[in-house]
Parts: sequence; C-alpha cells; structure tokens
Amino acid sequence: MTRRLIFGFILLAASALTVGFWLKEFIPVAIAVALVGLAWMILHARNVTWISSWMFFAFALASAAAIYAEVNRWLSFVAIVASLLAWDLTHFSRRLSLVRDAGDAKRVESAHFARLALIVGLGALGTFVAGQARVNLTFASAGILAFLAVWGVSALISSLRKRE
Amino acid sequence: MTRVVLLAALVYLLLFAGVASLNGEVVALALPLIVYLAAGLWRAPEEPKLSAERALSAERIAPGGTITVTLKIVNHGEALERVFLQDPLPPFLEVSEGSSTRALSLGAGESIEWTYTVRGRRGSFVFEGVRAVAEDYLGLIQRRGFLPAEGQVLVLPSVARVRRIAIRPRQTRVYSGVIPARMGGTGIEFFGLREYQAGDSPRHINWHVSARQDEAIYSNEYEQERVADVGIVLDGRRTLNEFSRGLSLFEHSVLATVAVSSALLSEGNRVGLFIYGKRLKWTTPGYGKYQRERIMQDLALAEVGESQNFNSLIVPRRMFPAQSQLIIVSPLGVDDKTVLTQLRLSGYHVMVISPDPVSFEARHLAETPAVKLAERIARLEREVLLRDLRHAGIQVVNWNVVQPFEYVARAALSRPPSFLRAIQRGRHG
Repeated sequence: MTRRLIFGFILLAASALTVGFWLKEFIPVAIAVALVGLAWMILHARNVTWISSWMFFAFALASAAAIYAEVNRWLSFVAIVASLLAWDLTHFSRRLSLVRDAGDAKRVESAHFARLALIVGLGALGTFVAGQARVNLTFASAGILAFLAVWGVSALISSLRKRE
Repeated sequence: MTRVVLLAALVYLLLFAGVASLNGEVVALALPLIVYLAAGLWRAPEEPKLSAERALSAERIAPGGTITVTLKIVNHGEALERVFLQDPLPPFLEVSEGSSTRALSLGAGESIEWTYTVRGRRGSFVFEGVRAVAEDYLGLIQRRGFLPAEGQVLVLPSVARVRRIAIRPRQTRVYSGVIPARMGGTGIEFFGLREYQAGDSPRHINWHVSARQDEAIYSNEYEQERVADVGIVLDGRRTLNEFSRGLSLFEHSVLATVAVSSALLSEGNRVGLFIYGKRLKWTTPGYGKYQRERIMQDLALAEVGESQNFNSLIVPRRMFPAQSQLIIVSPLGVDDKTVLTQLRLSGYHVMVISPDPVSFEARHLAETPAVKLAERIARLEREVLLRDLRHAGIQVVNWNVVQPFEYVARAALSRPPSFLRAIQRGRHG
C-alpha cells in the first residue's frame, strides 16, 4: 500500500508541475520536470531511497519557481504537498520494513496516514486562507512580519533539534 | 542531512523568497511544511522509560528444535505514540513464528506481552536486551533506549549415533573398560597361559595343555579390558573447511566429533577435546555424561578460524601421556603430514577422520573438462597424502560426506584396522 502510494504521489507532483508549466508554455521546463519525476520513480523502484530527499528539495524549489511563472497556485500547492508526502512515505516505508508483525504494520500504517491527512488538510486550509486574504503591507511591516515568521520557525526547529 | 534540517532549509528558503519578492503565494507554499514540522513537535516522544523481562521456554535445544521467547515490556513513563522494539538475534537463529520486532503504541503505565518462536542451527547466544526507538508518527524525532533482558540459548550440534569406535592405544588407565590393555587378567579375549595359581577358577584351567605336562597345571589368561585416554582434535581452519559459494565442511567435522566423543565416553573412556578454529579451546579430559555435556557445549560454540597449519598444535603430555589415543577430525592439508607424523613418532596412536574436501567441492562444481582435471589432480595429491600417513602408522578414515557418518563409522571404525589386527595376531603367534 505504502509503496504504491509513493509512486502515486511522485506521479502527482510531477504531473501537477508539468501541466502547470506546459499550460504557461514553458515546454522545456515541463519536459525537464516530467523527466526528473520519471527518474525519481525509477530510482525508487530500484530502492535508491536516499535520492528522495534531494528530489523533494528539487520539487519544492520547482513549485516556488512555478509561482513566479504564474502557474496556478493550486498546482504548485499540489506539487509541493505530493512531493512532501512521497518523501515522508519513503522514510516511513523504510521504518515499516523493520516491522515483521502484520497487525502492527497495519496499525502503524493507518495511524501514519491519518496524521498525514491532517497535515494536508491543515496545509490546504492555510494556503486557501492565505490566497483569500489580500493585505497591502509596507516594506517595513512586511520585514517585521518576516522577522517574526523566521523567529517562530527558528524556535520551532530548534525545539525539534533539541528533542532529536 | 536529517529530515528536520531539510525541512528547515526549505521553509527558510520559501519564506525569504516570498518576503524578498513580496509574494504571499510563495510564503503560503511553506505552510504545509511548517504544519508538518509543528505536527512532529506536537507529539514528540519523551525519553522512553521502559523495562523488559524475558522468559525462554528452553535454554538448550537440538538443531531444528524451537524456543519460545516471551518478552514483557512495561512503560513506566509517559504515553509513547509509536515505539519500535527489536530483540536482536544472531544469524544462526531464525524466527519461525511471530516476530522479533514490534511497532506499537504504549500508554502511560501500560504493559504488553510479546511472544515469538525461534529455530536454529548449531550455536550459542546470550540475549542482552531489547532495543527501543520511540518516535512521533512522522518519525521526525527519535528517542533510543536499551532495555536489559538477559537470557541464553544453546543450540547443540547434530548427533550421529555410533555404537563403537575400536581403538588400541598402548597405554590404558587402571579402570576397567572395553579397550584391550595388552595385559593378562580378567577379560574375554584369550591372552596366554600361565601356571595355575591358588584362587584361579577351575573353569580357566586349560586341560589340553595341562594334560601334556607332568607336574604343572596351566590356566588360561585373558586380556584385560580397560578405559583409555583419548584426545580429539577438531580442525576448524577456514582454508581447509570453507569453499566458494558459502559451502563448508565444518558442520560435517563437528558431527563426526560429536559421534566419536559420545561413543568413546559411553564406553567409559576419558575424553578431552581440542578445537583448533577461531579460538584454540581445550576441553580438559573427563568421563561420563557431564563430560559429554561440556564437549557438546564447546562444540556448539565452535567456529572456523584463520589458523593456517597445525604448527601451534601442542598436545599437553600431562593430559594425554604418550601412547594414548589421539583422534584428529580434519579435511587435512598437505602441510599437515609433518605434524601428524611427529605426533605418531612421539608415541601417540593417531587416528585421522578426514571429511573428503575433494569430493565435497567437486560435487558442487560444473562438470567441465577443466574441473574434472583439477579434481583428478587434487584427488591424486590427497591419495598420496593419505598413503604417506598410513605408512607412518596413522589410521586414516577418508569420509566422503555424501555417506552418513554412522555408516562410515560402522564400516571403518567398529573394529581395529587390519594392520593393528596383524600386529595383534603376530604377538599372540
């Protein structure tokens, strides 16, 4: 199940960006994204799992680039979330392969999927709200907000790193 | 790159890019990643405070037997959302039922009992404890722990039943046994005649001989049967025992050693064992079932090692006096001739039980002309070696391991070899 989902999410991420760039007539970029997605799937099928981190990084940057290319923001959102899920599930499937007990594996899988669904839902909600809210900011207020955001994220990350 | 660092790098990049270009949609792209990070933090596990208790259904088994391992894990700390438990197993044990790894949630104060069954080949293993990794559901934060839970498993070697190993060492011990002692006394086999002495049983009087004498009466004397000192050397040199594609003769050598030592101990002999493998291990000589148990335990641990030849093989005279019996279980290398001959010259009665490496390896190779030629050369070399050893007065049993050892032992070891019988006949004549 998890393995099939990984291929599904890679395909979804690559398709979303390919379609987005294609519609905006960035044909070479669309082809490049499709080829990278294909490479990711082939490497994953050959159990080259370490590549997933680099592929996720590349797809996240490509999603940001798609925003600047005025690709539909929902396609970019789908691409970044699908690549995040593919990356997460790759790590998860490695952990799951250590579990020999079928009952345990099923329970752990269900709980993990439920948590991912929650994250995707909250992320989509946040993106939707961000898309609806139109606020005109001066550069100074944007700078202050950016500083607060970076500080908040840094606090979150340092807290995670301490517990790691 | 850890997962948290990767996510952090992406979040910073998207935030900076969004703010620098005053593009809210780019900032919004970071939201799913921030939610993902926050979810990891939200249910991050504390240091696992777990304890484990182990119960084993048996501590020693025969090969192919099973042991049920029961582990009780108790969580003394906070609830753990996801915890991986792994009971490490050695390669010679395989799980036949259940699993030696678990992934589960454990509430505060909750305990679980977990059972699995293992089956194994020859070996010994000390369980030290259970490895625990507690993590959040996204696996961002992991806490590792080790839960001591000790136990020991011994998988004994296979046993081939051999009834009798006929040995004729010159020196025997004082206790009665089944080995002819080359001395007159009570026994079964005729040994000689002597003048009748008061107290001799009338049934032992040799009337035929006495009738031909005028003044004396003669009694039959029988050969005393006693126990002997036997030193068994198990050769575990990797170069001789292991072949390409993971093939090994060593298990056959162990099987022969078990069979020989058991047969000799059951006849009351004093048997010691020297394992010449990964470790040089002497099992000091002893008698009976207790000694058999010690030998079985040491054989369970025997492994092949890197020693190249028998040069470091020193037989302690205190344990095995000259003229006692040595039994070498070895595939034999060309260089061994000198050492074995020297042992024979030192007065030991040497018997070599040699699992045939040439037939063993050839059976697993393709039948090409080159392989056939190589096999022929190797076989000739081996035949020359075995012939030289026989000429040196060493009893050699060349064992093609396709045949069961019981069969080989019955054919070649249940009575003394022809040259020893000839010596015996000559002496009586």
